[in-house]
Amino acid sequence: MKLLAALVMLLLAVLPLRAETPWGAADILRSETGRIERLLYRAQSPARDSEIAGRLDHMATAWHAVAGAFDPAGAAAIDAALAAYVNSAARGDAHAAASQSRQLWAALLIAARAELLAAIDHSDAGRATNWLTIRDYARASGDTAAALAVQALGAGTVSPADARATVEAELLGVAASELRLALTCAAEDAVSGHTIQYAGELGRAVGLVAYLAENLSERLGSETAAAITADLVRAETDPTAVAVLLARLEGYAPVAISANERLRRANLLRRFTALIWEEYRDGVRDGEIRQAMEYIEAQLFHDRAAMIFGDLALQVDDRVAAARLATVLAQIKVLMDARADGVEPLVAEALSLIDDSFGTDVTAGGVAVAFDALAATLNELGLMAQAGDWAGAEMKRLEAYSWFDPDIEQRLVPRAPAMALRLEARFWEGMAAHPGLGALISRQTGGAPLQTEIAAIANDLTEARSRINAPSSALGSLLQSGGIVFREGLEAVLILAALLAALRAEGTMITRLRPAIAAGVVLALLGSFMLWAAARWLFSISTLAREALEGGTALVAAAVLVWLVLGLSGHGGHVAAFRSRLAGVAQPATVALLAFLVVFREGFETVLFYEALMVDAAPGPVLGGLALGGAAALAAGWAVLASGRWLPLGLFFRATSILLAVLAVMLVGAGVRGLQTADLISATPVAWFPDADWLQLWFAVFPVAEPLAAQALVFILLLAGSPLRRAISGLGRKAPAVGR
Amino acid sequence: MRKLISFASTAIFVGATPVWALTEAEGLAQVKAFTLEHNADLVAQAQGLRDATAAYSAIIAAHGGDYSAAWTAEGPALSDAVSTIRSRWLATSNQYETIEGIVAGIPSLVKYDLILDAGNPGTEAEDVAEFDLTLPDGSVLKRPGSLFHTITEPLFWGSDPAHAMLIVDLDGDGQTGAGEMLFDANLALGASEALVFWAGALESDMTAWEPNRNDAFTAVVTMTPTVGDYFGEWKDSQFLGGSEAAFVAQSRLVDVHGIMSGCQRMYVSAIAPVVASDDPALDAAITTAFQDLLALVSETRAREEAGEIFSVEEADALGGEAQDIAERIVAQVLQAAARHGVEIES
Repeated sequence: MKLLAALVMLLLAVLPLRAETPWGAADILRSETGRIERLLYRAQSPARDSEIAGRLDHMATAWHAVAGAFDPAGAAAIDAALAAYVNSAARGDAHAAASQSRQLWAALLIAARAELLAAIDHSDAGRATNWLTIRDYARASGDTAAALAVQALGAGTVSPADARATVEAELLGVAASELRLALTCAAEDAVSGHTIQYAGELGRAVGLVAYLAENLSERLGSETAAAITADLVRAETDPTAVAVLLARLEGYAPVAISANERLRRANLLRRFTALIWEEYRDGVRDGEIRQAMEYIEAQLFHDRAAMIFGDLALQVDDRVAAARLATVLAQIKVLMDARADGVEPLVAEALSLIDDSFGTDVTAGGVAVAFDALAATLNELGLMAQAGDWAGAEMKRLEAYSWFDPDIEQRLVPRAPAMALRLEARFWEGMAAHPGLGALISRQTGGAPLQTEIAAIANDLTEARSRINAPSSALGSLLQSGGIVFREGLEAVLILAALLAALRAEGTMITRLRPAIAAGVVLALLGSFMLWAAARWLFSISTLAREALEGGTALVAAAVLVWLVLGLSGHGGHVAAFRSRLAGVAQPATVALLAFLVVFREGFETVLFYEALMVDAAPGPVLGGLALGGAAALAAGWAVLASGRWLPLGLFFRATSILLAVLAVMLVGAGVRGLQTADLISATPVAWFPDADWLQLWFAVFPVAEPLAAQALVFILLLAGSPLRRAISGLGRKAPAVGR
Repeated sequence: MRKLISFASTAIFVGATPVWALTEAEGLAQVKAFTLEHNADLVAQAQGLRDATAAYSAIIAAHGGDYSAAWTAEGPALSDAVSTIRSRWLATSNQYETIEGIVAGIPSLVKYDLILDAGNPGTEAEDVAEFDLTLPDGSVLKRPGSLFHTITEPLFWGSDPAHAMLIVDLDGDGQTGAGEMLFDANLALGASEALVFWAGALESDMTAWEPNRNDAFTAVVTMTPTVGDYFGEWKDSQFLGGSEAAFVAQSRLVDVHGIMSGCQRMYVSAIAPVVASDDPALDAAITTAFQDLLALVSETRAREEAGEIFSVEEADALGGEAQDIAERIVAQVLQAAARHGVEIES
């Protein structure tokens, strides 16, 4: 043993002193106190005492080499703590040394935190990174927010104030958790009769209370903070004081979270937890990944839920429930990683625990949650792009878009449809002058353009939030409701009315087509409501799937309409030829199909818009608006039909032909655009076409190459193969002699 | 026996010296080369163990499976055979322990850790070793647990009474102490052959493994915190007066050291170049923490080997401190993982 001690002393003497830095010295102090504590468990012997003395010298040397790097007050506190420790250890007092080693570490933590925050305030990320090494860490949650905040500070993507807030919050949270853990361990040590460990845990608690002193006074009041200090003194001789201490800290959360903030986070937690199963059930079947995107999203949502719960755990009064929720989330992760079954009941249990812990309001969720989640996701997108992780950035973009549509878009469309349209484009290809996120990420264009676009979206979202949060008057609700049904319904009404008018002008008995149109419309309305109900209670329809459905339906409707229009306006120009052709194409079934498609295309989304509108609008004005808007759309349709009674027949026929052609072109534009939004085909913004909200909103004409090309193609088709040409050229001439 | 254990343990402690690498790629390659080298030794030792159990089984078979008759006729030969088997087992197990920290931490290889060393029988809810053991007589044991610690160690050292076929005085001292028995030759040969097979399968997959950053981080984050559990097993083992059937052949601390050395090797060789590139202070802190952890285990093992008696509190405190250091290492590695966008797999 003597030989071993001599070897250790020799080693200590020849080892390079890695205390050139404060963090290196801190490592030495912690490492040596650990080794001395182990030595103090052994029986006293000259060899033991000699090794302890050598290690104490090593500590003192390391500390004094760097003491000047600390603020004088912090350095003085460390000096005092080190002196007390050295005294205890040199005396061979294992209990006192166990306690004072922890207090020494706490003194280092306190002094290092001051240096760290000062470095952050000066935007010195490099220095902050180094000082951040002297810290305690979250044990189970794996929190990395502080490290990432300092990294982002270095990259210039967060302000010093924001970085400081994040770092302080994490360090305080960890210290509070460690304080509870120390007291819990102390209580167990007292029961087991492990007196040295008890002294050590109590010393850790004393140190952490010093670390949290200011915060404890703020959060619990100075009287309680003083009582905690007194209880710690009493606990040195009376272990029952530990239970009192734990009770005093029961509701302590170091970072202030308002009731609204608590609810907001709980909403997010619930939302992400629920999404885990919604994505996982589509992503994994029978142990195999069926849809990689859904599986990855399920993992993303789990990680997000776990991260939020890490913040919220201390806010749960029922500690058993909190522990169970932590366990359930961990079990879900294990099952998901194994692509195993059993996720659904665990998610259900987690949701139940969340509801029980945070109250019924937590189920409300809502657009506020979406705004917060979207902002956080955009930040992460920026960081990922900055790190060159473009695949991750793309995932974040889609995640961000899934927050925008449907949550925000549905609430925004009734209030500011043009803004909703513009915001949506920003998530995708954007415009030629300012490419959107999708375009920038696909080109791997980071830096200023990406950050600018993210900032622009953030600004738009701020405005969108204020619009959505603005109280809606009865008149406002009525107009919004009417606006929805008029805008979404006008296209369908015009298509059907113009078709009927054209057919009537051709001499067709349109009364035989009315039942078919009615059937198509009724079926479409029923289908829209059934799809809405199914999506709400039976299965999930992702944002992209909904866009694809809408776009695909529009294209099919456009195809049917083009077919009908071409049939309407076939060659010959003679009544007999028209009738002959119409007999072939304008069958009730074809017209019913068209009616179904044009109504169903907008139906599902219209139901969603109304669902969103009903969140903060009284039913009366909404229903009134629905009736008025519907009536206005129908009036427009009636006007088209009625105009046939006073317009010259030829002119009427040409006008309805042109109207149908325009509507077919619009449908094609909307359909292609829908498929682009569903990420099924590419999108190329063009600078030469006007970028006007009204063109996009009312005529589905976008400054994007693909829908413009498709619309041009359809226009040429209609022009070449129909009397559209003649309709246009004949508008100013005498009407042809077509009979009724 | 003490000398034998001491020798085998020393082999692990010496073999665990980590290698610093200049670059991440170089470090990953070093880790793989180290693991393959010891994997090859594992296969060779397993073959030696199989040969020893085959010789033992042949003696029993020569007497029609009558253990009593075999002992009466060839007692000294059987005694030698048992001794050889035990020494071969230790050598085989220690080869695996040297690389366990790496194998068990790599997601694509973790199943081998369960089958060879750490898995539970199918009766348990989790961490089950997913394989069936076919014995020479044709019987099949469904998901019987790990080959080293559930099957062969209790079998060879007699802590599994169900397979102790005959109590005998193996060392000829006139007494029948703990572990002095003839064990089931059929199970011994079947399990030894399975060890050869699975060690070879591990070698194949290890050869195919493409070292990468995610696996390296995952290995350290996954395996380092297990030190607390291992200390718990050490406290409950027969070395400290406990009654656990496993870990009777040698101290669990030998395993702990092997596993933690693997984690340290993975960090020092493959991860440190990444961490040090932008946060040398963090790298230094993690390096120090690993040194502290290994020093704690080594010192404790040396004291145990020297015959020191640990109080319950001291054993508990040692485990607690080891766990504290391990959790700190994991938290620090996670900070680096987050900064470098490394995905940790579970």
